[in-house]
Amino acid sequence: MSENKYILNISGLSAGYFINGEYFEAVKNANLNIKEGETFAVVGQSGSGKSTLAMAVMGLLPIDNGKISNGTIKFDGNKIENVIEKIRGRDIAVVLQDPHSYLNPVVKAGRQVYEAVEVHNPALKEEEIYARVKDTFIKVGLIDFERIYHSYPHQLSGGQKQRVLIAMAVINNPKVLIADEPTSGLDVHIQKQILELFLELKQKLNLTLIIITHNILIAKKYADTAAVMLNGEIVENKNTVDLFLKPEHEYTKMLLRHVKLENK
Amino acid sequence: MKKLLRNKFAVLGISIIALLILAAFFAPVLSPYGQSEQNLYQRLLPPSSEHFFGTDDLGRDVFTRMLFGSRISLAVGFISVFIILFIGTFLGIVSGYFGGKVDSVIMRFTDIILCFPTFFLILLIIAFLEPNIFNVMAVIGLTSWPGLARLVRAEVLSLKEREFISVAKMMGIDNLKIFAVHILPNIISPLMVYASLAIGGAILTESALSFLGLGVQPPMSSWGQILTAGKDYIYIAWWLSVFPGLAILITVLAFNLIGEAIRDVFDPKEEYVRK
Repeated sequence: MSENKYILNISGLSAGYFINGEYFEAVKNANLNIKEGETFAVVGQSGSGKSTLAMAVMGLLPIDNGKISNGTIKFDGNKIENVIEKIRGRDIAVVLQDPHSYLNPVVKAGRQVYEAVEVHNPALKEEEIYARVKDTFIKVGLIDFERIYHSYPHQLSGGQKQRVLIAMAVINNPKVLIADEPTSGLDVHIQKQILELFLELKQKLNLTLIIITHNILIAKKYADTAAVMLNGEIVENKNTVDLFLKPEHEYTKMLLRHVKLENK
Repeated sequence: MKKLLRNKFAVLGISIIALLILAAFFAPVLSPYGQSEQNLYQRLLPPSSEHFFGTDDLGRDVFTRMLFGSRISLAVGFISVFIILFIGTFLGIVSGYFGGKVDSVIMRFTDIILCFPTFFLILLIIAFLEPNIFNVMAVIGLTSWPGLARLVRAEVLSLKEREFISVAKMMGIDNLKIFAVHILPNIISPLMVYASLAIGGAILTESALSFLGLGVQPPMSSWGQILTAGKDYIYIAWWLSVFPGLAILITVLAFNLIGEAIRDVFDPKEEYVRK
């Protein structure tokens, strides 16, 4: 893997929503280049546009009122709009916040992961898919495979649900994994486990990991590079060590000050 | 299915419907009389061991006519509801899921259909077409779906905003699969409840049409036809109204029981709470 190869290039991206007929720009002229194999963090408070950015990359802004008004996104050198239908869920996957509502309540957990494999590998046989689900469940730390496979989501704990969702996201060996606030809605102890699981999977599967978070400490601890977003703009974007030692933008400085205050 | 059989109301409902289907199927074997065999010496006889449900104004055996009538009622119920479910669910899902212009077009069309009082629309169409059983089924099916379409649309509107649908989309699962795997199982309970009620409704509509002479044509019989023939004699021959009325009541009730039970079975949370 060459150090300089970019897997994701976002240039001049503006995206937003029509609310009551008026256009609200949630992401303004964003430029990001994400290297293959790195852990990248997008930090910002809620409403700063970080989730919109992720949705724009996935091509999943709401059909009725979402819009990319400017800019381009390239995935592995290809314009994303040309390839996203094919690669969504296969080469690029997402894990979202609050696992409690992200599994279909009336479909068994295993079945939902099974679907995710089947849809991208129509040639695989049933046993092969099953074996792959089992393998992935164990990889994400769901040891009690049989039981969890046949459980409905309400019979699982929050941490288990999040692991099922992570299994679903990584089962097709994606190149890029976007984790959008993957630990909110989980208690502190589980949060740490889940974040460590991400790093472990990143090593094992050669992922490029993009963590979207409001918590600058997560960025500091886990990411190689970080971008700070404020009101839809990327105000600072550099490697994490520099970001923490020499923050340039007022907002970054403020975030760091708050963190320091909390830790005192 | 196993879970369904553990529910005693479901078993009751299923038994009644199964019994009815068997009765309809074996009608000629079960009764010594013909469907339209008349005996004018035995007019308006009360129920007895020879005529379980008595005889009507032409001396025909009511029990026999009801056995044959159950064929009509069940066929009308099932087939028209099948049409309703097919059209209503399809339009509802498409409309709710895709939203925007598709939604507007489908919903305005639904509103137009909904504007007509269904029964008069059916009357109008049947008056143009030949009044026979197939037209009745088709017309009931083709005019009664708007309610279901709106119900399904409303369910889908809230479902599609649910996070697991966005996860499915993010996993690249295509729309057809999302409908089949994620949306249908979630709306199956309202669908079933609606279907069970609609079967009853369709049976009633058929009865009403037969009453007006636009449904099943004599000498074929249907419950509605016997019921309405009985109204002229209600003071002297109660059995002509009571038995077909009871038959309709019990059938509709049985479908409701099944609908209710299916709702419980398809809702995994329900079971969890009960444990």
